Amino acid sequence: MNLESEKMTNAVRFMFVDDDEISIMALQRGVKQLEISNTVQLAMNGVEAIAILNEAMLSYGSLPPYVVVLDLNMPKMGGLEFLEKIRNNENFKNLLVFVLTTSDAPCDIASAYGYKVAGYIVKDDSRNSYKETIAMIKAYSELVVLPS
Amino acid sequence: MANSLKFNNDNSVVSRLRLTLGFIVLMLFASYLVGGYLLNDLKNSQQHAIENSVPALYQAHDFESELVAISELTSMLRGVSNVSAAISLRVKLLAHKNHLRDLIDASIIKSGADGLQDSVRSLESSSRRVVSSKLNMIWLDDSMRAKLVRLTEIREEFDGWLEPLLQLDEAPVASTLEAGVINLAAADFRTRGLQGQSSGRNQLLEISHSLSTLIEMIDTLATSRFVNNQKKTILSIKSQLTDIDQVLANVADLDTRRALAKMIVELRALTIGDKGIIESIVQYGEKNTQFRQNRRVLLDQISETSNKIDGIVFNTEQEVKSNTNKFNNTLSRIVLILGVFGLGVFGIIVLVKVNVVERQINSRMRRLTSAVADIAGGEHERKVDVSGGDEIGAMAGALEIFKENAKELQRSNTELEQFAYAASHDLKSPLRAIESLARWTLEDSGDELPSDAKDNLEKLLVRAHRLSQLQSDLLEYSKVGKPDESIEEVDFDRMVEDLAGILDPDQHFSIHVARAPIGVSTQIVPLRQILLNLITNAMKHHDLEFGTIEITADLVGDRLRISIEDDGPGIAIEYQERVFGLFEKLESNDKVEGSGLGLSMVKKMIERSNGSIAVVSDPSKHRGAKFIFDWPITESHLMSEKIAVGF
Repeated sequence: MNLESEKMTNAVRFMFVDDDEISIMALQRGVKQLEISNTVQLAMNGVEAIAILNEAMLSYGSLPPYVVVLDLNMPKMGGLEFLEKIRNNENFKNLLVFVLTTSDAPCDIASAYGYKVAGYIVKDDSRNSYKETIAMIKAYSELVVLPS
Repeated sequence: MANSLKFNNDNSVVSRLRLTLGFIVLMLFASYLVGGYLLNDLKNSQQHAIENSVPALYQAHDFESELVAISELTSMLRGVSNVSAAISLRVKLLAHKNHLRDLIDASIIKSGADGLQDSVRSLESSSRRVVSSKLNMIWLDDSMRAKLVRLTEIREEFDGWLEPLLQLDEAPVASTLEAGVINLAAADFRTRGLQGQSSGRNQLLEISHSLSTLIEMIDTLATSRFVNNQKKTILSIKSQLTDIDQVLANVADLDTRRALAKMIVELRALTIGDKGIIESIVQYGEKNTQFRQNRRVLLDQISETSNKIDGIVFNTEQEVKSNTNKFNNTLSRIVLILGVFGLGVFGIIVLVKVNVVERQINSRMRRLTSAVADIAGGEHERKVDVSGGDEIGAMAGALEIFKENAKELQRSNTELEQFAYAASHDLKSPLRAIESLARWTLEDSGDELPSDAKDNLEKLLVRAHRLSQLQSDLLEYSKVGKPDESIEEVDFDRMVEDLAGILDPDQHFSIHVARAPIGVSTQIVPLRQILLNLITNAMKHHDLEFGTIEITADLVGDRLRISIEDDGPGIAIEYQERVFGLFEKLESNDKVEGSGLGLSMVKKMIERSNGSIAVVSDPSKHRGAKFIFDWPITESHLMSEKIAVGF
C-alpha cells in the first residue's frame, strides 16, 4: 500500500479546468481513447482548481506533480486570475500549466505567457484538436521531468 | 440643439459687412456732393474770370487805345491849316468817339463805369469844342488871307492909277518903287511940292508912300497874327487913311480922285471895318486862345479818363487776383476734403479688413476649416473653438452637432463590429458542442442506431459544419478593418504559390502570376486574405475539373491594380452587382458550399483602403470572370531607385 501510494504520489496527475461541459467531455474522450491511466481531476473554475490543489497538498504533505489544462473564460475565477494566484503562491508557483481556450486574442496570449505557461493552445474546429492536445500532454508528461 | 443653430440676423457678418459697405457708399456720396459743390464754385470763379475780368481787361485796353487815338488826333489838329484836313480829322475823331461810346455802352465794366461815362461825355463835348474852335480859326485865317489878297490887289489897282500920272511927270522916278528909293523920292517930292511945282505928282507919291507903309504894316500884323493894342492900331490906321484922304483931296484930276477915294473907302473897310483884317486878327487870336484852352481841357480829360481806366484795370486785376486766390483756396479745400474722405474710407476699409474680415471671418474661418478637416479626418474629440452669434458661429454649432453625430456613428459602428465579433465568437462553442455531440453519438453507438436516426445525425453534422464555416467567416468579416500595420514587401509569385498549395493541393488548377512589380511594400495580411478569397471563389464556382486562374498586378501611380481572371462559367451581367452583397450567393448551398461572405469581405477590405473592386464578365460571349481591384502601396523601391538614378 505504501509503495502503491508512493507510486500514486509520483505519477503525474492531470487537472482539466473548464466550465464547458462539452470541452470536458471531449478531453475525457481523448483520455479514454488514448488509454491514459493517470489520475484526471476536473474543476469547473479557478476556485475549484485551487481547492483541489490545496486538498492534494494536505493529503500528501507536498504538492504531487500536476499538469493543468486551463481554460481562460470561466465564472467565479477565470484562467488568468487563477494563474496570478498560483504564481504568487509559494507552493504552487512552479505548477505546469497549458492554456486551452477559444480565445485567440493577442492580449490573452501575451498575458498567459506572462504567467509562464508551458503552452497556449487555441481550440479550433478540427475534430481531433482535443485528442491531439491530450496526446501531446501525455507525451510531454512522460518525457519531461517535472518539478516535484 | 435647434436653438443653438439659430443666429441673430442683426449680428451676422454679412449684415455687418453690408452696414460698413453702406457707410462707405454714403461717405463716397457725401464726398461727391461736397466735391461737386466746390468744383462748381471753382467753375464759377473760372467762368467769372472768362466772362468778366478778361473781357474787362480787353475793353480797358480798347478804351486806352481809343483815348490814345483821340489824343493823337487832337495833337494833329494843332498843325492842321485847311478846312478839308480839319474836317477829315473831325470825322476820324467822331468815329473814335462813337467807338468809344459804343464800347462804354456795351461795356461789362460796372465798377466806376458811371464816372467813365460822364468823363467820356464831357470828353466828347470838349473835343467838339476843340474842333469847332479850330475850324473857326481856319475860317478866320482863310478870310484874312482873302482880305490880304484884296489888299494887295487894291495896292496894285492904286499903282495902276498912279503909274500913268507919275510917268507924265518924271518917268525914271516912277519906274522904281523900292521902299528906300520911294522914301528918298518922297522927301524930295515933298520939298518939291513945297516949291509948288508939279504939286499933283508929289501928292500922288505921298499917297503911294503912305499906302505902302499902311499895307506893309497890315501885312506884318496879319503875318504875325497879333495886334498889340487894337484901338491904338485902329486909330493909327484911321489917321493914316485920313491923311491919305486929305492928300487925295488935293488931287486935281476928278476921275482919279474919285477912284482913289473909293479905293480908300474899301481899304478902310478892309482894314478897320467890322470885318476888317484887324478885327480878324483879334478874333483869330481869341479863337486861338480858345482852341488852346479847349485842347488843354480835352487833354486833361483824356488823361483823367485814362486814369479812371487805369483804376478799372487795377480793380479788374485785383478781382482777377482775388478770383485766383479763391480758385486756389477752393482747389486746396477740394484736395483737403477729398484727402480727408479718402483717408476716412481707407480707414474704414482697414478697420473692416482688420475687424470683420480678419478677426471675424478669416481667423474664425481658418479655425473652423481646420476643425472641419480634423473632424473629417476622424478626430472626434477635436474641440471647435469658434463661437459667436453669426453665420460662422452657427456653422461652428452645426459642426459640433456633426461631430457628435460622427462620434455617435463611429461608436455605434464600433459597437456593431464588437457585437458581430462577440456574436460570431460566442456561436463557436455551442456549435462545436452540437457537432461534437452528434459525432460522438455516431462514433459511440452508430451501429446500434436505426438507419433513419443515423442518416439524420449525419445531415445534422453537415449543417452544423456549414454553420460553423459561416460563423468563422463572419468572425473574419467582423475583424476586417481592425488595425493591422504589418507592412512588408510583397512577393506575388511566392504568395500565390503558397495560396495555391493550401487551396489546391490536388493541383486541379493552374494558378499563376502573369506579371507583378517587384519591390513594392504594402499591408500584406489583408491583401493575402483578398487574394485567398478571390482564388477560393474562382475555384469554388468553376464547373470543370481543371481550370486556370491568372493573377496580374500593375503599379498605377501609388496604387496597385490587381486582377484575378479565371476560365470558369463567368457571372451573368444581371448578377454582377449582387455578388458583393452580404450573404449573397448565386448557387444553393447544396451545390456550392459557401457563406456568401467571401466577396463582401473582399469588398469591405478594399473599400477600407479607399479602393474599389469591379467584375468583368460576359458569359454570353466568352467564358471566365475577371475581378479587378486597386490596392494602396506604402512604398516603392522601384520609384525610389528611379529617383536615385535621376539624381
